[in-house]
Amino acid sequence: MSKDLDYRKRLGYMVFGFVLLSLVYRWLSGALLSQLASPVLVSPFADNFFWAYLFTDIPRLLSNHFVLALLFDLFFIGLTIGCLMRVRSRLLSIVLLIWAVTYYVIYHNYVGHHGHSFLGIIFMIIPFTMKGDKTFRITWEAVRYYLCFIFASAALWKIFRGSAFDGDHLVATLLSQHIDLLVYKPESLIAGIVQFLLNHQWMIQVIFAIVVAVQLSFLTGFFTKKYDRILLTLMVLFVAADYLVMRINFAELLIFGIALLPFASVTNHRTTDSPNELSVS
Amino acid sequence: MKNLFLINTYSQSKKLFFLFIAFILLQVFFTYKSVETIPFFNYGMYSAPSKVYDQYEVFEFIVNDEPINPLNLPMLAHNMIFKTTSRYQFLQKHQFEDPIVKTIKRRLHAAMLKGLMDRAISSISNSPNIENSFPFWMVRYLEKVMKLVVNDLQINLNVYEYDEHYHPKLVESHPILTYSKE
Repeated sequence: MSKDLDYRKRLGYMVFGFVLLSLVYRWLSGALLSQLASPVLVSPFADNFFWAYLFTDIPRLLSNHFVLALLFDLFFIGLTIGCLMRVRSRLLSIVLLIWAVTYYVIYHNYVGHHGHSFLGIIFMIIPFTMKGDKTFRITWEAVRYYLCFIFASAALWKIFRGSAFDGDHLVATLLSQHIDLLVYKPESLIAGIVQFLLNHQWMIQVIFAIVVAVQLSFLTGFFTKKYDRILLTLMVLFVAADYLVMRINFAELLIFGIALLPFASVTNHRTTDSPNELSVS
Repeated sequence: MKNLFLINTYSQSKKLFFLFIAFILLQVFFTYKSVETIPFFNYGMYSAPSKVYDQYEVFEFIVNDEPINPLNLPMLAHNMIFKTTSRYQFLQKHQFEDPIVKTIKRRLHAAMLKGLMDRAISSISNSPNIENSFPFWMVRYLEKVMKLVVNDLQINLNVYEYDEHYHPKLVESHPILTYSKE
């Protein structure tokens, strides 16, 4: 295999390696299906996809039977390892994608909250389900644009809803978000940071302005790749700051950052499909 | 520049091009409707203007007559017990008649799928029996994450007010769930 084609393997090692780390984290946190103790309370909210899945009774079947749930979890981990060992296997990637979506639906249905941190895992598997290197490259680029959409749209939501210009918005959010921390761990470092900010509210307003600016900066990703390294740095800092200031763990979303890595650019590689480069920016 | 990607996609793979166009249009639609349906997600968390309230609520978990610190649990486990308890409390306020049943009936009626109504309601909504089954599940889950036997469990809803230095002060407390193995 030519060196140029090895980029798909390299990306695969990174993506599936990250997925495996995510599963280990979830296992250590007691968040795999067999660790949920046969949950009973469903929360599909208004999501039609959740409704369709629940209608099949697959979530109930898997979560209510420990052995089935355990087999599901073990297969999930085994599939991920299989994808790592056979990165170019389209079949394994497709099955892993189905497994990841099923896990996402079942877990979030029973946890009572449809969070977004696991979505990076799902979206980043998609390119590896493509048949040829041409379609792989196209969908890899599409995933990079989706990452830019996530952050840019987050800023635009704040702007169009007016919260970006509301000086008290983040203050109110911090008061609501951290009441449990201030009750249960008032002596912790993060509680100290939160109380310092609440007693110096001008800093909160500055922080919020920076947050919106950082998120908005991802609009540049739609027009050029020149700033991808900067966007990657901002993304890492954003996730870290989100954890410190808001206690929201978006670490799993960092898998999207692989699409911003310099050597992940597909414009510099040729494939056996065509001798011409695919110009995408 | 973004259009260049789509133009190149069109020349390389018309199937993917039309798939992307459909995805973009549907994403715009679901963004406009402010609802999510996999794979169309909205990232407007914490964008709705918030206001400062006089009081804030926190759940207290008393296991075997000892209050536990839920923040000592792994973050995902802590989220699990708080968010499910919040949902339970929501259903409790509705006398355990899940409000989603009305939405199910409206959607299936509109989609002319009345024949599937009973099956949909039993699969997608919580039955009134959740009042009894949820405490048993919470006990099982706490036993798993805390690695101890739970003989008694009480979950209280504590109400706090912030003082002038933003320290929370307890103002009232009332139980929302009580369980005893005996």
